[in-house]
Amino acid sequence: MLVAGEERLGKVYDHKLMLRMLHYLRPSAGRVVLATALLILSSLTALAGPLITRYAIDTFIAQKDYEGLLHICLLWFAIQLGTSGLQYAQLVTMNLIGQQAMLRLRREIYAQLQRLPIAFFDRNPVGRLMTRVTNDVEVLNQMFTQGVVAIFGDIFALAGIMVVLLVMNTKLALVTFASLPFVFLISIQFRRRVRHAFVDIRLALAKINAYLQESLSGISIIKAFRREERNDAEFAELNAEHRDAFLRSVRAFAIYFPLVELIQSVAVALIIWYGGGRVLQDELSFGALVAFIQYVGRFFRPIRDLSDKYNIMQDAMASSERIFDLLDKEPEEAPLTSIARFNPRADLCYEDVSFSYDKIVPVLSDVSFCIPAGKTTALVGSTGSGKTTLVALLTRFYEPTAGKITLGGVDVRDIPRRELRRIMAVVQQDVFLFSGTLEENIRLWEESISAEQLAAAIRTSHVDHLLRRLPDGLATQVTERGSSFSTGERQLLAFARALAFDPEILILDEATASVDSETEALIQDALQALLRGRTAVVIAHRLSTIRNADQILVVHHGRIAERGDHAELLAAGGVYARLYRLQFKRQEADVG
Amino acid sequence: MRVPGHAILLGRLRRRRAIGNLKLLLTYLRRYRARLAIGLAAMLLATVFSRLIPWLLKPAIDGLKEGAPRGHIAQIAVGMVVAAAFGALFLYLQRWLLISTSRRVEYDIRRDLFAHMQRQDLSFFGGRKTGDLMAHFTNDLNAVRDVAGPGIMYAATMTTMLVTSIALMLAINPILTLVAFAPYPIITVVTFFFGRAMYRRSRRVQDLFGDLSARVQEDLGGIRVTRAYVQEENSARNFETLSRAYLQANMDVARLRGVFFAAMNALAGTGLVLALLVGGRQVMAGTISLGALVAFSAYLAELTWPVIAVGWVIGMLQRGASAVGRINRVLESQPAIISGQLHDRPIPRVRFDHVTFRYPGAAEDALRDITFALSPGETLGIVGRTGSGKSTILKLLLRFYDPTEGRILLDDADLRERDLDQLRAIMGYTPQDGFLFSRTIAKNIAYGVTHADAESIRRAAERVHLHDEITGFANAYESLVGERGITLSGGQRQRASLARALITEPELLLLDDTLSSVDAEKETEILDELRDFMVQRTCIVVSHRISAVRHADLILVLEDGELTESGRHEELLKGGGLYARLYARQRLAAEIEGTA
Ligand SMILES: Nc1ncnc2c1ncn2[C@@H]1O[C@H](COP(=O)(O)OP(=O)(O)OP(=O)(O)O)[C@@H](O)[C@H]1O
Ligand SMILES: Nc1ncnc2c1ncn2[C@@H]1O[C@H](COP(=O)(O)OP(=O)(O)OP(=O)(O)O)[C@@H](O)[C@H]1O
Ligand SMILES: [Mg+2]
Ligand SMILES: [Mg+2]
Repeated sequence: MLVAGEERLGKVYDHKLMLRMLHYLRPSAGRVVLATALLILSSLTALAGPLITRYAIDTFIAQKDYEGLLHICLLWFAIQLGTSGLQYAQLVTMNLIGQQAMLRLRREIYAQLQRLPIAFFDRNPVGRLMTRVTNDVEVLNQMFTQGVVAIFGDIFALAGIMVVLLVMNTKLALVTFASLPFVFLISIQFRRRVRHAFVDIRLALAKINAYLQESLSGISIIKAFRREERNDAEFAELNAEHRDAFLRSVRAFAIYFPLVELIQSVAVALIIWYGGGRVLQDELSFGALVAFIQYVGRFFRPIRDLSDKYNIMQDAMASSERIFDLLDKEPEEAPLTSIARFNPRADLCYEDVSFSYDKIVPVLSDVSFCIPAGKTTALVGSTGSGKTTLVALLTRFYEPTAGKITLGGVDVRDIPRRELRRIMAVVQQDVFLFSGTLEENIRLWEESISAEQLAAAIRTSHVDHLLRRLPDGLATQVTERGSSFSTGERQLLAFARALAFDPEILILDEATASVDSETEALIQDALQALLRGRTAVVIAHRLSTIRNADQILVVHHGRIAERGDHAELLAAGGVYARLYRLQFKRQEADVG
Repeated sequence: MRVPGHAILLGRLRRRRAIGNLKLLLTYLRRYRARLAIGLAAMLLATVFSRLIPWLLKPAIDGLKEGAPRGHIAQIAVGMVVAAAFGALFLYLQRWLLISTSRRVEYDIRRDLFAHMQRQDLSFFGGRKTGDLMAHFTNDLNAVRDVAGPGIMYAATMTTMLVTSIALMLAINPILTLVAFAPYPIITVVTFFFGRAMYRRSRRVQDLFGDLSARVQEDLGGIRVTRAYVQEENSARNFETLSRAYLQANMDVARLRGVFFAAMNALAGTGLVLALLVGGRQVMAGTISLGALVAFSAYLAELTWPVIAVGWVIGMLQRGASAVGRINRVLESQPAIISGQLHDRPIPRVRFDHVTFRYPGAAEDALRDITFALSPGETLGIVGRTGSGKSTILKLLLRFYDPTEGRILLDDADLRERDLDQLRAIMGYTPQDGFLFSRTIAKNIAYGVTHADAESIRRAAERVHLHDEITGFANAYESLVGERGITLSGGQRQRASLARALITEPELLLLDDTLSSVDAEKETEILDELRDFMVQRTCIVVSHRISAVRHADLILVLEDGELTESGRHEELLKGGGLYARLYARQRLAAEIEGTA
């Protein structure tokens, strides 16, 4: 699955993107100024070397003034020390700027991920999204620490050297600059090639990550189905894509740098030839010629660095585009104009609700029913009929495409999602456990859950039975996704989690499907007391699970086919009666 | 504070190991011997040619001083350009051959790492986080690649530059050379300590990056829980703590690097100053010519950069060494599950012989002393309380793990003596959680077969009553399934994973509570049809529903890892144990519903 945004060829330089990136530097504005100042200072002091050499040669060595030579050397030494100090300060400041910008950016991306609609996560694999928070941000860091400020530094150094050269000898300086157009031409060619390669590299890397992530989490299936060799081949393809894109960029670099170096040497040769002539005609001093030659080396360094920076920028542009793409995605919750007051203990009603995940195939069509407050409503129906979808609308993981859901007459869209979710607790059909301790998994990170509440939830959900076997009890470490617990045990833990949050509305989506009947019955008995006065929505295929429901809704192909309590539905002789008879008949058959 | 002697020794050993880690890299580099050799030769030539240019400066300047004719100067200038052209050619070869090799090595290591990881047994994955493992492929591999390419190239370039420059400088003036190099012993010492500290600090950065990746990966996986329980802020806080620690670790590295570069700069600068001072004096004394001093200074100035880069390369080597170490730990870990011999493949007989099993790191046995036998073509039902070890029996059969005690026999051969690939080919497994991959439905169903035509995929889907639902999707069989199958309903996912097992036509079918999210109607239909499929195969069916196992030839009842009852349905009912209770419970429920 490819996200469209990743295939786009990154722009070289996008003013808007750049401004947005710089925005993350704003809180460090003081440091940026400091770093720039330090950089300018240190590049200035670094310029001193050739000047001092020239002065030493022309003045002191020529005049055999040892005293003067000693003094100027001491001065140079002091400047060297100063430069080192400046460079240290500058490096640390720049890193701090980059790291802090990165922290801000990470924080923001993470927060955004927490706000994006659930449908977004249905489409985007975790491995790919992870890249946004980790690698892409890291690339921007490179730009912050080595890019932005350093570019100023390079440009400044370049300008400084040009001025010094022009002042020393205008003609010779112009001869030196004659090489510049060639450098430009080569650079433009180089950039074009590298740009494509870099986009391809990122793309391949994202694919590799997503593939790895999935393979690592599905490893037992890979083994059971002996996919190792075919996966090697699949992976090799992505791996090769990544390598080849990289090789293209390597070749571009391999051509570019030697060419620039060649031009530099030609420039030196020109200086010797032309400058040598001037010296012979006594228009130029030896010292000046030597200084010129030394400066030419420094003149080309920032030019070469600029192309390196260019790549960093290019890379950063591509990364930032993806990051901002993510940040610009519509969050799940648009700010509400008016926040309705609502009573958590009120009837929940679906009014002509229709829904489709992909806007093509309808999953729910014109569903209308009420979940009475304080009562238990059961949803039954064939697999894939839309039960899970119905309750996903309740927690507003998705929004109805038509119709509305009301809580005590208030449209739930007028209630902030977080407020709505606070009064509900869901045991989802797919249990998810975090790595951490068992306790963290039950209470999550909620401090407000008291020890008694926790203990009660554990008792009711029968988790205490499991705890007895674990020497570390609630402090037991849970591995990723709870892989060290049996499926049923994981469900019980998710159940305990829902109860610990003491919700007004409890939603159980096949919450005990992987639990044995005996444990299930124990839980149900314990749950009776707890459910009194609370609204509950229970989805179950095992009809025994819902025998006590006040209302049973039969979902069939995205519609409510039947409704009533158990006796009424049996009498009606529809889908429910058939389902029921099936379960019953099979049991009867065994007796005979 | 006294540091115990052995601690120092241990530290030293560990350090030695750190660089020793790079040995692994050598084995990979060896494959590209020829390229590397040519690349290094090109590097040597490139350096020699680039050395020529300052060398030519000397006659040029001295010539100018002595008023040589312009033609002579022009000759020297042309010589420079020619030397530079050759230099550029060899530089190109050097960069291309050396750096591209590192990309190829990266490819090789990534390939081997993936292949190796895939072949580890499940206990390997049990103790590790996915995010951490992934960091091996990105961050660690980057660090290794840096060593293999730029690391080697710069190290070699620096060495040649150092050697040639020193030789040339010695040729110009030995005394001046000694003076100019006075600060270099200090540089060596500084570099040594820097390397040690750098290793530790960059290690920490890498570890934290791994933690950060793992955190993000999990938080995104559990996003539906976080949302449902309104825990966004709390999980953001945890993330923030980690990000801050990462920032600190990075700054520690930055500060260290800053100190190092400053020190290097100052020390190398001192050399330049000394050379000017002493050299200037010698020129005054007439011992050396001005041209010699200029050329000498040029060589020395060119050395500044390599000397500073020493620290950079050392940092790179340290990072690389610690990364190779991490990768090596993975590559060195040998799976405990080793393949045996090929056997015949009849419809298998299965026997558990006093099998006891404990998961690695667990406090209690998951299975204790399990013994049972199943004849070819028979069906075994397994029921039992939650966490009693049902799934574990299937995982042992698949040899995801080996029993701690006892043996499992398939056709009278210990599983450990059988070819692993063949063993798993015999089995068709549906995991309890119905894991699917994010590819099309068709590809998911055909996951276990090399070539599957649309027809057989369709047949498999029909067998599990999924065909009609699939054709209802916008893209039918070509619909993409979200990660782990999230865009399917629970029951659809389970049935897809059942179809995936059936299409392989296995001799031994392992169903782990496969239809728990499927309604009774569909379940009955599917099971009835599967019965034909099952007749010619040995089957093991784990279920919480008595209805799914009641026809089995043998039913096992597990409690807390022990086999408490076994027999046929009727026998177990008479026994009055857990099975009878479960049955009564499910029947009672049905009756209550019936009479209500
Ligand atoms: N995230 C999703 N994106 C796209 N389609 C989806 C998504 N989740 C479910 N569907 C589709 O919507 C339909 C209804 O699914 P739903 O999960 O609501 O069924 P269900 O009644 O809960 O079934 P089950 O009993 O098997 O859990 C199915 O056809 C399913 O493939
Ligand atoms: N990877 C693991 N590491 C450590 N312990 C484990 C691991 N997997 C399972 N266990 C433990 O081993 C025991 C048996 O687990 P198993 O999955 O076999 O149970 P089960 O009978 O299949 O239960 P369920 O009915 O819930 O699926 C449980 O107590 C479980 O906590
Ligand atoms: Mg469902
Ligand atoms: Mg199980």
